[in-house]
Amino acid sequence: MSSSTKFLTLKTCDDKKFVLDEAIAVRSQTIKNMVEDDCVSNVIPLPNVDSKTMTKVIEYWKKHSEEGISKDMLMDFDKAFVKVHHSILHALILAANFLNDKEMLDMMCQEVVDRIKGKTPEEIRKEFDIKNDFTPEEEEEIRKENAWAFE
Amino acid sequence: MERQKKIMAASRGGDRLSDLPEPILLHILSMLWDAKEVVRTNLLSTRWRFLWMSVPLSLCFTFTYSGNQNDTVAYLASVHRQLYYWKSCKKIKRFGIGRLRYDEIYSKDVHLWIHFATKVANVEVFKLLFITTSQHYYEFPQFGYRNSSLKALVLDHCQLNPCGSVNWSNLVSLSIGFMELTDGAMEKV
Repeated sequence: MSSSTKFLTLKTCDDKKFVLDEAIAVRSQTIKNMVEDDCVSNVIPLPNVDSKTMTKVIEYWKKHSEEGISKDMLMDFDKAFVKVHHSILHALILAANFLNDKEMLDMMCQEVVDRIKGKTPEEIRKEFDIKNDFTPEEEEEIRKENAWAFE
Repeated sequence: MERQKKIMAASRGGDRLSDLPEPILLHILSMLWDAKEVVRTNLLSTRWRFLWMSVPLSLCFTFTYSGNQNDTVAYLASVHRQLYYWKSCKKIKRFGIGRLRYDEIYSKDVHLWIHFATKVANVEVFKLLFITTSQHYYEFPQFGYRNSSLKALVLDHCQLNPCGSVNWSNLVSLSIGFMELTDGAMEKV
């Protein structure tokens, strides 16, 4: 590694520190703006991200910054990366949103879309543990209203 | 038993999807390919009840190739019915009609679509693609020449003949095919 490599220290909400090559960390537009505005002291606090999630984010950033990695290898990596439990997917979406990494955010959102599409409302509720808080009468009424969306 | 299950679900953190900030949920829903699938999420829970109305959507209606007039009329009626309901959606970005075998008897139906696109939904992208075997060209209605939301407009087998001035103030791209233009129409555009 060349001597000109700059490192940033990121501190997650659970007080864990991550030391990361600046060139990789600026995949986050949020961090990039902070670096460019020169408001980076020693440590960049990430109040909305926990260390478990940040570990995953950094794994993604590092893989996507690897030199000479083939498109196929990245695709395989991405495919495996999104196959996580809903709770982790949810945390990664919030982290990507806060860090303002659009590429990663879109990839995680696409995974949610893939888990929604082609499913009936009942199946979607089951998949995501969504609690049906309609009364049976309300539900019946919405079903009737929805008839046009099944045409 | 049922209660126990519920408690277990709650302790696992339960429904995380519905907890996402609204802009992210809207972004996710906008990525669903089938717009009607977006509408059907209104049945999930009260959180989702009216969400679909704010999702930026693309509507595309494509007629079948069959020359059968009954099929065309039936599909036409179905498009009108759906548009009636789509009026509730505040963020329709794109609206497209494809492969209508145009005939003069449909001109008022097409007027209605243009009205929907330019006066009701204020879409950014509007496509009107006809196939026609005869010399019937659709005459673009005068009310359609004034609009500030359109960014892209794709027309074919249409006749552009503006009486007054044309004001498509935000139009970036205009694509026309098999077009009948009257003298001076292009200058006005």
